Amino acid sequence: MSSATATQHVDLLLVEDQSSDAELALRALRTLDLGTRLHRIGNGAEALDFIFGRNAHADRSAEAPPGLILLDLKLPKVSGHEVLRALKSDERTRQVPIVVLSSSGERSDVERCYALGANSYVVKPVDFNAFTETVQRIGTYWLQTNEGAGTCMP
Amino acid sequence: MSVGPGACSRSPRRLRPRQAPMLNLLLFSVLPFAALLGSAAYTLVVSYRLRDWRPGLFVGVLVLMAVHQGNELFVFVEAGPGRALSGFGEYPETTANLLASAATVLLLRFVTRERHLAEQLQGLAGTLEERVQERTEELNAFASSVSHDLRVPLRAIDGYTQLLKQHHAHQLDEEAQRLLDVVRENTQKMGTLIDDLLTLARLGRCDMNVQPLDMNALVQNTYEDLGRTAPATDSVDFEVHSLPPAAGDPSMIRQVVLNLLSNAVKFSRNEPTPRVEVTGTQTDAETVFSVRDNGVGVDMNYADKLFGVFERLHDEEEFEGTGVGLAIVDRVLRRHDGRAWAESTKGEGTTVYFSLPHTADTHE
Repeated sequence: MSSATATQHVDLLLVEDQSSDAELALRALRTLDLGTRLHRIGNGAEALDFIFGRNAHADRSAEAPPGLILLDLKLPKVSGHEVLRALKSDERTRQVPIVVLSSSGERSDVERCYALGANSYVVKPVDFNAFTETVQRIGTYWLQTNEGAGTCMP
Repeated sequence: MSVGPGACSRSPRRLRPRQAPMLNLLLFSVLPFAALLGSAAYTLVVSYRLRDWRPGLFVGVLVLMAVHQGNELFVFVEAGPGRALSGFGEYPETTANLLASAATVLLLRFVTRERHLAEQLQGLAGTLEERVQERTEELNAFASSVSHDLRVPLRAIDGYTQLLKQHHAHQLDEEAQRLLDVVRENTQKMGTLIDDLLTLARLGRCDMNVQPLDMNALVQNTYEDLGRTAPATDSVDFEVHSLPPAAGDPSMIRQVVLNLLSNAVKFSRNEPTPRVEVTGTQTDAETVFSVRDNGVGVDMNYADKLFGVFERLHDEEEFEGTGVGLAIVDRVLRRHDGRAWAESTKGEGTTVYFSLPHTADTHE
């Protein structure tokens, strides 16, 4: 398992601005040894650039979108809600599963995310063991158990 | 308003000393009523010195009244001492006259001011209610935002402490490991505290969905749920007497019952035979439920602190807790127009009561 280089295909994109949360999540996923390429981006605007291959990430324009996106809601510049809306309203990315990974368990946040087309909503536990287990379960389910639209070969 | 015969001549007929004040009062007693009847009153202050344009004034008043018919016009004429106001003629400056003038003016002022104040007050109360609502929402949103933001560093503290323990255990001696455990314990405590605060904030603003409640099922299910996280329930002698139905928001009342049962179990766990008992009775106006335990009890000298946020009446070493549980109970019941109170004897146990008012849903 490795972090993707700039132009490689990414299996899992983590959009998370808090570096500690990102490190803990990536650590949890790496110990799973799923053999997937992980990449982390710290704000919503860059995440959209990365996924759509534009601006600073124009070299990725031919690259297929990530196989799975783990999305935090509180992001600088472009919020997680906006990223979700942009991805789910675009033909190219509509089928990419998006798991919202948020500290907020507020009913309004959860409802809004589902309304925008989130595939799953998970509240990040404060407890480290619970957090690791949660992230690993997400990784196993969405990257191994789940059959994604992008992985179906014709 | 007819003008007396003398008013047409250049020298008005002089009234007898007692007549003028009476007429004066009579005229002005009509105006406050006009003001009272209307829903809003305009105050028109007319010149102090009326003597020279008296007839014109009255025509003006009549015209204004006609124009504003039904539009709550209130004409307030300031009377000066010794001046004729009614058009009935001049009257001498007697004490009675002065008093009468002063009284009418005061009465008029009082009525106008009262009315004005009442309207202002009504407006302010409306605005205030809106403001309070706004601020409460802001405060709750702030509390929830802060609570979420607090979780990030907390998760980091817990996470990195654990990583240190797991991956560098060989570099840490026993004392260092113990210290890390203390860090961990405290992050967990703070996590619980944040969760409780979030619950408290959420209960203050979420919409209520009041419906009939089967309290027997609710209490039993809640106790079973509690058993999954609180092993102390295993040794408790738990009894639910047949409970009358009630009406309330299911998830909120469940939270109340959960907090009370969890307290009862917690504070009686050191007894040789811990006992928790739930009863309920219906009165004319409300349904009262009680959760009784035979535990450690609380000092009723501090009863007023029992339902406050962050108020704890036991040492942390003895009984863990954040001091938010009963504050949540109190808030939920207040939102239901019910109430919560407690009776306790130190060393003999505590009974916490809560009541829910009857609604159309209660007997369904």
